[in-house]
Amino acid sequence: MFVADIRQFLFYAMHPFVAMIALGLTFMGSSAWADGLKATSSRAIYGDKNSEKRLVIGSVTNAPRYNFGQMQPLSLYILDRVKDLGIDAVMVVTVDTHQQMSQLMREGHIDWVSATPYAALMYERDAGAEFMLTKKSRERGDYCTVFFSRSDSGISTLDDLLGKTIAFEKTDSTSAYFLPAMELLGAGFKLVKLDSPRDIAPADAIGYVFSGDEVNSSTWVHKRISDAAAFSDEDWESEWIMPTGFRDDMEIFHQTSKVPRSLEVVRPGLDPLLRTRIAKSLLELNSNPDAEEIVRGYYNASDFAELTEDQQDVLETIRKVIKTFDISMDDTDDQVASAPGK
Amino acid sequence: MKTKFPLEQRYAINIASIAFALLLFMFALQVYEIKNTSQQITNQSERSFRAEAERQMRQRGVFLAETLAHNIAEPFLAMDMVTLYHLIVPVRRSTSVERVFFYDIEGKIQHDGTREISKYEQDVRDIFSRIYPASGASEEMVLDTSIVVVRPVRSELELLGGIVIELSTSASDESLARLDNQLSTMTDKLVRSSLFELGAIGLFLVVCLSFAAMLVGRRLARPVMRLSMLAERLGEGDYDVRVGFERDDEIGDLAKSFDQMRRSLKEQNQRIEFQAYFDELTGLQNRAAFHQLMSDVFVNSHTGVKHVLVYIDIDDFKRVNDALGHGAGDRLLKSFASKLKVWSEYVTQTQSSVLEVRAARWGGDQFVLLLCGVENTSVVSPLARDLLQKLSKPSDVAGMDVVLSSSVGYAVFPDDARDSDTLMSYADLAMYISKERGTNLVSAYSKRTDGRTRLNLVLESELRSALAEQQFELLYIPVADTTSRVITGFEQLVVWNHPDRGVLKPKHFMATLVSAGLREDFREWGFNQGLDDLKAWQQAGHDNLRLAYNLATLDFDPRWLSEMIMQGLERTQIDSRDICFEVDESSFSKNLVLTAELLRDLKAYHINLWIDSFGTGYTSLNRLRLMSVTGIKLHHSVVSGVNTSQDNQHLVAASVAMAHGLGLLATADGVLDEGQLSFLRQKGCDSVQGPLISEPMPSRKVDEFLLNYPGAPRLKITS
Repeated sequence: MFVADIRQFLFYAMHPFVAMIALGLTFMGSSAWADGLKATSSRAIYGDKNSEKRLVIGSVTNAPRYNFGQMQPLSLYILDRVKDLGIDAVMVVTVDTHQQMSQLMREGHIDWVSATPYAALMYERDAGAEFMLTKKSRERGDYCTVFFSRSDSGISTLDDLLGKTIAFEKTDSTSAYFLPAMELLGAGFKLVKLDSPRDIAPADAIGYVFSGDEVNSSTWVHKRISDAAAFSDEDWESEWIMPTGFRDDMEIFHQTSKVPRSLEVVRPGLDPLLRTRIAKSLLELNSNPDAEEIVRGYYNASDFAELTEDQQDVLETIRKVIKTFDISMDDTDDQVASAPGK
Repeated sequence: MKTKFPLEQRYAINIASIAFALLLFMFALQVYEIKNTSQQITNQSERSFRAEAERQMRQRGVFLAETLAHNIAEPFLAMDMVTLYHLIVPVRRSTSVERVFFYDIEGKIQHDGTREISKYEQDVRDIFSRIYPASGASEEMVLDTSIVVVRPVRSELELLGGIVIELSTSASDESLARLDNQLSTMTDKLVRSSLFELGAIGLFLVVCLSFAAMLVGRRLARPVMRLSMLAERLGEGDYDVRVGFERDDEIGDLAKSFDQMRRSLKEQNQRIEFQAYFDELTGLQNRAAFHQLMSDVFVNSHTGVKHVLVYIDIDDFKRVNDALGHGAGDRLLKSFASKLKVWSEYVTQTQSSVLEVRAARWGGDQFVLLLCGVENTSVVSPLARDLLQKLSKPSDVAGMDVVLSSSVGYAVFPDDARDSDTLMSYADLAMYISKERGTNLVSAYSKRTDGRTRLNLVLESELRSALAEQQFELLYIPVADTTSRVITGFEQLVVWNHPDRGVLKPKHFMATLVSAGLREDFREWGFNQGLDDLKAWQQAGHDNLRLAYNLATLDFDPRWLSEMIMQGLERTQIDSRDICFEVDESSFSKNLVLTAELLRDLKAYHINLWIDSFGTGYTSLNRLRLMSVTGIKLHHSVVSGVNTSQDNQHLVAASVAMAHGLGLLATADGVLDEGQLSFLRQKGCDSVQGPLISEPMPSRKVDEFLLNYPGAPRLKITS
């Protein structure tokens, strides 16, 4: 039950790509590509189009043309930085799913891709991808999930949630579902999905319900419809999601570690020189006055950074949960997995 | 005359004023109408707006509530608060919606459209008491300031609660106020714009009307102005103006009347002008016109050009008038003027030496002529005489032939005078001289005659009356033979028994007599009377008497003398040898040619001529001889000095001797005493006269004198 939700989450986690709109560019076929992939991938080449010496950037999106346009400045920037390493062109390849991406990476067709922590962990597990850098999205850097309830609810630890209901947002939310769920699973709690916040959870488990919206989550808790709720610390600060009148009556009783917003991932076996050069080039963007122009189209990127130890720890924790519960990406979303128990 | 306020403008202004007044009235009416209408509209629209607003509001409330009720069930069941919020907020925020509540079946508010749902779980009946959540009823309530719409919310299976929407009508009131405001703004705008339009149209109308009025006014005024202008010109004397238009209206009538007035004015003016410048009776120019003529001619006269003013006076016209009556007098004057006119035209056309002759009637029987541009004034006198001759032709008046004589005088511009008045007075004077001198005579003005005449004007006048009143008396001075003292004849002497001045001798008035033109009358009277007297004496038996007449130089008109003498002698059958004429020595010596002529004529009639007043002149003895003078009469001054002056004795003796030497007789005048007589006898003087013999005596005493005179001539004894 939970796993199915996670899968659903995984699908929706790719959402930023989905949102992008196609923009016209020259598309070129490549004989080097597996026939099976042709139907579901598009590509654009910057630099010497006839050269085989390419750096391939992957992207999961259902709006490849738009994505190409967005990727162009960064592609040209990187091409300029890696030419001396024998690279004549940068090719952007877009695919529809993470599974496809994993496969292409595993086959060595994609050199470099940007991914959420969860996707990055999946590519790591499935394609041996390696984490190169973290990336902040505009002003939003690392974030965490907060667990909260009314001050007068008597809930002050995660343990107090047993037999109670907690509201998550929806399955594709990292901070308001994946992370708190991983947190609770990692802490050994048994999660039971309820259809309505009015339903009563089993006494030995924590009932969770999807509110569909962080606003519903906060409202439910405030109006005592749900016992607790979890969403990102940023949402907690949002006046819309958590009006002052509500917040004053609430209390955060638990919060997760900070996780990076996204990770730059490269395929295994990529020329270390090239990888180093790419990482260096991206880090240089932090102090490049033209950086905004170059990275604007790149997932709203702002700052690039090396992974910190905390981040490594958090990822490790999640990695473990995934491993423990054998959470994986399925090709079909409607496949329902049995809920893992503690 | 410039019209200060022309009809045309007046018309235009009047019409424009009326139009303006109308415009103002229309303005006022329009404003009133608009205001009134807008008030009505406002009231009506307020009512209907209110009703409509309520209806619409209710409708909207119903619509909103029902829509909300329809959509709200599912999110409510899902406890989807954010969707509830998003459904309710637009409703709550929509116009005039005051409050929106979604409540459950127990009446507990589930959402109020606020983020925090501050009314959550409150009982909706605390707010809207008339809501019955469990009833599921639809309701619309009209409250004082709001409309409340209630709609149930149902799921497919059950009643969930309800929606209550409160719509404030204050918004519609505000709208109404706004509408009012808008309406009044609109009204004001309408008023302004319609006033503007009206103003523009009105102005246009006023302008058009003014223009039209001006046109009409002009159409009216132009002929009137033309008539006014014509009247002005008429006033200035231009009677030939033409109205120049014809119309069927009153203006046309006015024009016709004007034309009629013009014609009658013209006729009247012509008549007045004629009367002013022409003599009605004769049709000749009158005195005023002639004056004007003279002025014009003289002013415009070039140097060297002469003009002659001729003055004609009909002699004794008064007498004709008295005798024949005024009607005849007038006819005579007309006839006279006609002759004058004919003559003037004739001369103008035929005489190259005269440019033009203009005639005028100067007064009652006085006429004037202006001979313009006369080259040589010597032609004037003959022309004047010719005129007199023409004028003296008989006129037929009342079956009678009437002959008028006239006197003519003339003066010459610029020789005699340079102004018309003076010239006229001179011509008048000259005419007067002619008249004095006789009838049908012509006299030219001269300064000499003028002076004399002026001095003798009184005398002339008196002479005229003297002749008429027979103040003249003939006296006879006896002439006696020196030796025998027998009376041989008489010298005729004319004296004027002047009523004031006593007896005047001819030498005192002869010149005046001549200048007054009375000489002929006077002479003829004296001559004939003398002949009559002589005849009487002869018939009384006094034979061998000779009658001596005095002749002045002025009498030296041979033709007239001849006629007079011949007629007199013939009438009285007196022998021409019985009469003689005496001429002063001074006259004789001054007018030798005339005297010679006279003598020749007298000789033809066997009439002797004596030289009178001998000793006072300077007559050449030889001339006396050549002249066949019969004798000389020594002047009394010479004779009277014989007693005292040896010179005089010598002179008398020499004169007598000389006369005798030349075969002439000698007579002494003014003999006073016997001494003188004896001296004269001694010296051989043939005859004497003077106080010694007798004082001058009237004719009636001659007979007695002769009879009683000691040395009386032998009486012819008639048997």
